[in-house]
Amino acid sequence: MNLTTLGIGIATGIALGGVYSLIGLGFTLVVASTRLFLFVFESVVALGGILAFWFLNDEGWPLAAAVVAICLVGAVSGLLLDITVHRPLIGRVRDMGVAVLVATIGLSIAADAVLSLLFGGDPRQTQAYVSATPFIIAQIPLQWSFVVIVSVLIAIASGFAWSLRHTSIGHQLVALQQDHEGAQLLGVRVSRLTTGVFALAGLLSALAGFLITPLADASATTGSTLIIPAFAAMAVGGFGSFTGAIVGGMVVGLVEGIVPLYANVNAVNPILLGIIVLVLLIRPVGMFGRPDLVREY
Amino acid sequence: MTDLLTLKGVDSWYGRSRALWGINLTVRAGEGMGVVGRNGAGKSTLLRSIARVHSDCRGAIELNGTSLARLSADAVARMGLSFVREGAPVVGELSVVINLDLARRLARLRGQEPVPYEEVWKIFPVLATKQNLRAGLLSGGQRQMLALASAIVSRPTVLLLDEPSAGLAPEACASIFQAIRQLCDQGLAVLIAEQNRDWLDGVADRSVLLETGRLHHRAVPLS
Amino acid sequence: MTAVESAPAPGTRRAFRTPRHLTGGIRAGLWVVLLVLIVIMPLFVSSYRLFQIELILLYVGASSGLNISVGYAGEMLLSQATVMGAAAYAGGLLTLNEHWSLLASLPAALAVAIIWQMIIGLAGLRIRGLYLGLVSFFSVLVFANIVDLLQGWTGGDDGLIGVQQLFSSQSTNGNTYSYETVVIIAVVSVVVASQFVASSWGLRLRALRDSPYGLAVSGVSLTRTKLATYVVSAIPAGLCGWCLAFVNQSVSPSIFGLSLTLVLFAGVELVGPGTIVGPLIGTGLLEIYSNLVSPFSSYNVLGLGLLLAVVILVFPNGIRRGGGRTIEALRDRYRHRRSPGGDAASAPGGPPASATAAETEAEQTGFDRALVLESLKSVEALHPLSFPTAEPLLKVRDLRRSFDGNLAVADASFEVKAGGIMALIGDNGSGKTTIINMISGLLRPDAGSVVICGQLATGRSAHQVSALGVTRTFQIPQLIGELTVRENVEVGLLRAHGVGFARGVLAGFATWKNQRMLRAEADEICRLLGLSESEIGTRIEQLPLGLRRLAEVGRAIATGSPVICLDEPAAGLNSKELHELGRALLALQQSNRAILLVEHNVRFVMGVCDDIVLLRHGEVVGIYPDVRSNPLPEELRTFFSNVWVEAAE
Repeated sequence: MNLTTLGIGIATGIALGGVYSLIGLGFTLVVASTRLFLFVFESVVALGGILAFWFLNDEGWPLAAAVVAICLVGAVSGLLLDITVHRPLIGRVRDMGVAVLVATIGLSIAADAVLSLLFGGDPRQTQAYVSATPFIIAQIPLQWSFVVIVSVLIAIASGFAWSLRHTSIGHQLVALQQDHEGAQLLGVRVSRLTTGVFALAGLLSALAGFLITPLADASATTGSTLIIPAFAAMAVGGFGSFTGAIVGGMVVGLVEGIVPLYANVNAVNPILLGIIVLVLLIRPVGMFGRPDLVREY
Repeated sequence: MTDLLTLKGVDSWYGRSRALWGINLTVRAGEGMGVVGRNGAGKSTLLRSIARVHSDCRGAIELNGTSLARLSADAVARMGLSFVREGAPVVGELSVVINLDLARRLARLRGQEPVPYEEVWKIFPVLATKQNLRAGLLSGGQRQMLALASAIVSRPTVLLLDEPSAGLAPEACASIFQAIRQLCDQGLAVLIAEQNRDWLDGVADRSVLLETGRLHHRAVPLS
Repeated sequence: MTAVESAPAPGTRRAFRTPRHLTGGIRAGLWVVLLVLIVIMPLFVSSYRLFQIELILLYVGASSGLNISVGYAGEMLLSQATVMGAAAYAGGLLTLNEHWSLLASLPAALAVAIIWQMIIGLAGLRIRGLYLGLVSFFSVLVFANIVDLLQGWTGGDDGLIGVQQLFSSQSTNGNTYSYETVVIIAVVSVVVASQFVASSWGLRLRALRDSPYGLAVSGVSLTRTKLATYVVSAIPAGLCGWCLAFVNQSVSPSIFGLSLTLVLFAGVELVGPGTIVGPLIGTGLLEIYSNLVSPFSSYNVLGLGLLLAVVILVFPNGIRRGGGRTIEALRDRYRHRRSPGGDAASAPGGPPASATAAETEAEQTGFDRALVLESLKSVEALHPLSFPTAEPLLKVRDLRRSFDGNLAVADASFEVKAGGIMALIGDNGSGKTTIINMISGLLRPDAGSVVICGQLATGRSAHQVSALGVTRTFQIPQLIGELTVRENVEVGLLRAHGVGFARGVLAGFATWKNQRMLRAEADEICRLLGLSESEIGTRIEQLPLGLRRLAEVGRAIATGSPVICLDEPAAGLNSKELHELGRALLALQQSNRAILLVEHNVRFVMGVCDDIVLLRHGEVVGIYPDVRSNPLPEELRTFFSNVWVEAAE
């Protein structure tokens, strides 16, 4: 085991972490605003990868057009989810979180099945969005796609953080997430804002699905594979916290990048489960999590 | 003086339990009306029903002649009704100034020029010193001031206050009630729910009693 | 004594309620028919179909375990399929690789199942609901990884193959014995689960789900209840999973993956939680669908997922509840058309016109202590408690508590003796509820002590504090809405009279005597509170606030606690309900209990309480004993002068 291999492992881990953070951000947006976990966004992630294959490989679109189209489809998916799964249940269930979770688990399984029927069951390699030739830093070969992923994450995360602090919409979103009723009393159009949140979460999910194509071939099952570490990231980092989604994402990514170097790759998820259970035992809200989202008792 | 807020035969429900029985109430412009009642009498339910935060109710509620019956809470807010809830919740994650910015936005949505910061600092000097502090770090009294300042900035036509004096030291109460009196002088209709009648002296022009969901327009002190 | 608001005109109810013994008879008959059908199945179907039926029976058996955790206890453990898988692997491995005998592998497989469930459950000790559901769901995805990890033993993705048959028999019809064994295992699984919830544990689990605070302040440990849930829910899964290995003669992770998890969960949730039969029907139907509609294909999964999503969207509280609500709504409409109530009756949940008149009259009279004392004489008294010393039952010393830097309670001290009724009064924000929370163990004081019946209570958890002799009621009654007043009162009896874990698991059906005793005790307490027969048997969610408060008081009495704290019990009550509450409290006083009341209703306080503690901004302004016999102290007079009441007409 030399430093180069370790370096590659760390770099891969950071890139993976970037993707998990993006996925986690999407989920966290919805959780923080509505207290709901919509499992089905993982299908939107898979859709992102599949659309990338379709647009780039099959249709030969220019990269920019493909990216824009993928983001659009993602946003529209988010919108549809708001209408079909979120709104119909408001005020009708005692435990809305569980109802939405189970309904969206069902939906995601159905959606993945549809994707599998349309796209075929086998993973297919997508045309890379950036050169696949690695560049060397300190004798460690790094992929350009890693750079792209991390850059996108930094751009989105900082753009997000900036908007939350300095734009009116950002303020309204913070108000909405903290106190739904209070936001209404301030005249915030909470209905519209929530729909926007869903759309944004859809966009982030589809984008993440696109970005991970150099690391994982596009397939109908990509989403359900990725949601495991993405969820681990949120559980560790703290449910409902954006910082937590990013920090947790990086932790999980690094575990995934480094552990296979020393042990069986199948050990990753059980280790993650162990970490999750431990974290939940010691600090149920995770590192940065919001206590009001995690009910004790 | 115009009737800014009118309630006729308002009933309110929580599931199968009835909380308000046939409430009739009118608040005029420039008037401060007190609603006195102990816990569980229905004060919060009354205010929440008017603000449409609680929607399981029947009867006519009108703001300046427009019915509020089918509107959502945020639509009612944009129409000019501000509601400061019990415990004066503010957006804790945001600074004092940004809380006020949200209120300024509401004023513009209402088609009004928002009250400038300087006016607010004049009424509540202590808030000026804590401008950029996260609102969640304010003391109870300061939060009440911020909540009221927010309401003032947003230029409402009708203001609802749920126990603005709860847990406050007498000095803090004084500045708050002074501010409320000022608002009435400017032509607002203010509805204040309180437990104690004496808090309302000097603030409310008249008071009504809410007892187990029923409104009594004449009340006497307990002997 | 009471005119229940929603009481139907006599005669209308009977049209819809089937007499109890008939329903029981019908139910038993259906079970018998079902069992017979299952047993004679081999005579009619091919051996492949029989194999499918065996699988379905085992899944149905496992779902009854999920009914315990999700349906009754509300613990969202979506990991049930992997518990089955763990037992299957254990059974398969031990017989195949280690050459254990079939029977010897059973207890080992059960143990593995329970241990795996407990590991996931560890997370559930601190979290509930959606979050626990997610974490346990995660374990499903992880299960395949663990199997892969231990490839050497488990055969990885390809699975453990070549597991022996259930019974290697000499005759050509080996399947028949296998089938009967499967039936027995499935039936045993369902029976184990059913009889557990047929005992007092059923109530205890429902309380964990719907009123955990009420359960804790009645002296029952929530953690222990959860642990019991995890163990018992794993037993059916372990049994059926173990059996599956030998029926299928191979074990692979795909059997125990997403699809099965969904079917099991959907089976429980679709029909509706809290029944024994529901999950069986739900899971059975889903499994039949799963096997009939091109199994293993994407279409199968597609349909399943869509079905689950659509049903939850249409019936989010379960089909039984959704359907039940529709039936109830129709019933209400029918009833209102027949009763003479007219306008008032057509308002949902509104009182019949006659009750309104009575109420308005009662409104004006306020609280009349003499009237209440008089009515007490005609009722059976509560059994009086006796204590070894004359020490005050509740002693509070220098209690202090801050929230976010704000001092909520500052050095509060007072005592309540046996037979005393003390009120804590003060404006909002004066710290009253905080004090009650600290006394009952739901909140930890920053400083100071609480002594109950001579024992130190500070620093202990809520159920431990309760065991020392205190219980309480809440501003918003913490009751199980779907159960009756009687059953909620029985919750108070669980600590002292509830059945032990071993008895519940092994001999639940045999505890019917215990159930009868609990019922009788609860009935007696309810009667002492003046509740009518019909009210005692009505579901909490259909009752007005006053009766709910009384139900909570009933639970408090059932715990036998000498000290009872009540948090604003009079809030929102009309005069009639106030009298009933006052009568209950005075009856408790006469039984030598110590009562501490947080209240705002001054007339009620003066009518019921002997001693008053006045609080302001968290500090005790003064303690005033015997307020009715002594002239009113200055501070109290000032405080009361700010209270207004309606003018006489």
